[in-house]
Amino acid sequence: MTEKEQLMRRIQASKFVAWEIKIYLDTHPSDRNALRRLREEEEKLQALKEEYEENYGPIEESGENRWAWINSPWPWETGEGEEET
Amino acid sequence: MWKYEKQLQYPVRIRQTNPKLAKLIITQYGGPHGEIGASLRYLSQRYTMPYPELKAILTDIGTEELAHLEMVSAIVYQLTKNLSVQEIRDSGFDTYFVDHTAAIYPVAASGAPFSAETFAVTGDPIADLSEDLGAEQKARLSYDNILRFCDDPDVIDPIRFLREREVVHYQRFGEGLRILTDKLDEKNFYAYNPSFDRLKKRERP
Repeated sequence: MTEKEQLMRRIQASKFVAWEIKIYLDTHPSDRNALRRLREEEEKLQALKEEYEENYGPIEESGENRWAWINSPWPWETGEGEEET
Repeated sequence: MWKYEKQLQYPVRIRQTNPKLAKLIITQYGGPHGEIGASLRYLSQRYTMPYPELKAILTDIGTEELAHLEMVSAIVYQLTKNLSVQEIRDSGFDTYFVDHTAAIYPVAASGAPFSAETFAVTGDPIADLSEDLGAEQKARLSYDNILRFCDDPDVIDPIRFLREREVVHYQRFGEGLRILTDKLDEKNFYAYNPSFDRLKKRERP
């Protein structure tokens, strides 16, 4: 796995952690520890996204990169045309 | 509204095709305990839920199920790429292939197409949340049964992730049902439908 892919994996993992805390908060909306943990995770995720964008370009689509978004591999095509690792 | 993220919730990267296994795994796309049914069940039930916590959990889990059906589709897609006619015939994938080629169509492993009859939306929050607890267990046992037929770590890994999510969702729905039953007062001891049946004015304290 390249460094770029590793960093994207860390972003995905951090997104998942934040999501898990969010659905926990749906049924425990007044759990202060979980709220604090969610804010910490969101800060971490933001920092990872900035690191990725500085090195490899935008993550989110916008008017600047619409064709790149359309043309980049779709999620079910992961690994297609790449060397086996 | 919804916003699409061009990314799977958990990575799927399968190097070895296996059409026989794909024919089983497709059941978690369109089968009786599959992700389409899960998603439609929760997203349809949420409108008549009485408390914000319940609307939130059904919206969020219903949304996560959409991400799961994309993962199941990605698994089936990667298991059935670049097959020869011989492989299709020998694996028994031919009965699916003849109608759908290698496209993703919502069917059960038995071949029955997706049916909304596989889930209920009753408008009674206790009935609905109880159904949701059962639904998560049924999805979990289907993934357990799929794992009995898997020996490829590339497939086992994302299937285990999906299985674990059913366990977490079961937990959240259990808490949702608790939130609801804790709010029923003593006059609703037998838990009639709190979304529809109201106390008559003269009976109100």
